[in-house]
Amino acid sequence: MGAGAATYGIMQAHYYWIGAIPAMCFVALFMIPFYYASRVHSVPGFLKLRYNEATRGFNAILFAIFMLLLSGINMFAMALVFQLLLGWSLTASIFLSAAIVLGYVVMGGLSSSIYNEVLQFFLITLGLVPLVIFGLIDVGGLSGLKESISNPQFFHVWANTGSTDNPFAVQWFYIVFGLGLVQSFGYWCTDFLVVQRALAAEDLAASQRTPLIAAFPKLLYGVLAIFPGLIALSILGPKIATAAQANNAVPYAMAYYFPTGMLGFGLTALLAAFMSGMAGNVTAFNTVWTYDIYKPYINRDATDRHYLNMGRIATVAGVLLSIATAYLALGFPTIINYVQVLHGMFLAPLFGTFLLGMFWTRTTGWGGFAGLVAGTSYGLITYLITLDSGLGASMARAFFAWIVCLTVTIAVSLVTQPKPDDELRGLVWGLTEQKEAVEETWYKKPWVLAVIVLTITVALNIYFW
Amino acid sequence: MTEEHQTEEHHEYGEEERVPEHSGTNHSMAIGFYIAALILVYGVTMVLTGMFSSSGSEPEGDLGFNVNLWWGLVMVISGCVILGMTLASPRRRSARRQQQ
Repeated sequence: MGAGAATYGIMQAHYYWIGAIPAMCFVALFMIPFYYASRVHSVPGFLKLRYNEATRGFNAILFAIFMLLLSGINMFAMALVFQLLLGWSLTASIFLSAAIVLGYVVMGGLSSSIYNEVLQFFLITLGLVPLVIFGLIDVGGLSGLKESISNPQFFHVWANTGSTDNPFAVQWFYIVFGLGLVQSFGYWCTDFLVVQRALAAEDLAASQRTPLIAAFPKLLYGVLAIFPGLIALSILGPKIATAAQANNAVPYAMAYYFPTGMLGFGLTALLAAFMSGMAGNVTAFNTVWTYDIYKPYINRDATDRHYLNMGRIATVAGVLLSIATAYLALGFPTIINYVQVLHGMFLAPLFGTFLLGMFWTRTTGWGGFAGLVAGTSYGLITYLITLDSGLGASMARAFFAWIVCLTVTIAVSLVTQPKPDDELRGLVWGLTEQKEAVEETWYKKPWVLAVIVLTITVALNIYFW
Repeated sequence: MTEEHQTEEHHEYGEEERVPEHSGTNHSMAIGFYIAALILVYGVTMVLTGMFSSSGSEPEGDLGFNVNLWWGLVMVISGCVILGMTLASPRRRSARRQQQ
């Protein structure tokens, strides 16, 4: 993220604020009660029951590819830190990263990646806070930072979005609808890893609170992740002007301010963050491969032991394939461009499929399948034609991929046979009975928390207008 | 992300809800403990580095104070706070349960 900030300025904060907070509030207030009452608890589960086996299978394959590509990105980011730290070549650094992650995922499995996720949050916060504080003291606060970067566009999140004359080269419409609606709602509503953690809470009220409480650090991260990039730009200037080096903005800034000791801790925190990201992707890949692709399509009746070993093989294969995908990241201006291209392609159409499946009883199995295929193909084909990895282009692509998915799903649904209402009970909004959450303490009420976090978001957006 | 693994995870948490005295509190205890321990180890190392290796590797952007020592102290304090919260939380939980 710091990389993006060094290239695009403070507009990068859109990914934390409008690109996350409204969706998180929506998930808490509307989706969690729905999931609580429905009879599905996973994306594949929903797709299979609401649509059909083909939709589920198609999504599983897409998801496996998506995870491998994301894991390559995390590995690439990790290798950049090693490269800077040890002075090794990129290839050697990539293999070192691969070896470390492989070692601990194989040994620790899912629980180790969840533990690491929690631990790295504390480490990265303790590593980034001093970087932002020291950096701001050094360059003379926000005004000093503005002066030394001398690019006023870098300090506005909205002011220049009436036209495409801004660092993202995109108009506000695509920021609000492409990123704020399609991409972020797609991510938060359909990523069951996120939803599942919330559902694991002790009761409905507590699980509604989970995404809302998570929204507060998200606000903070808009600042913590972006200022190091800007500070790096200000102190190192032309040194990170080339985009390839922008990926290294945060480690560079750390090396600039932190003495031996503190620097070691800062880089450890960065490595932990990338490692936990990659471990999460690899674990997700091996489960999807083993249970959603291998088991239903390749070898249906095997022993549990066989599937367990298959999972291990998938982990090793996933890491090896990630090494290949890590090099793809080299072809993009910054890591964040690459991540957004992927999100636009993989998450946006899925959100369309989900939305229609959840709110419209008329949506049919093949309608959903056709829409998902059409939306994803639209994203993939338009990307391959233009090869435009600009952030604005990704937002627009996400928006249109979603529209294509909706249109095709509706069109095909109207000419195919709908499922009877009985089969849809517990799957579609109107046919699912929801309970009211009971929460006595006023400051724990979901809507109170939602209003607070949204107010702060609006305030931050106005402050950095 | 699969159905199987998700239900499994969900199931695991469901068990915790049923026997909160055991796995639930132990779980929250364990993770808080690791976080605190890790931060304390890093913090103490940094404080020691700050105290004993004063000269040598000055970074380019020298801020004129001993970064290792001061941020190390911040980390030691944060580590202690997290440790305190971890130790206090199960007790508070069981107290609340007894009232009910």
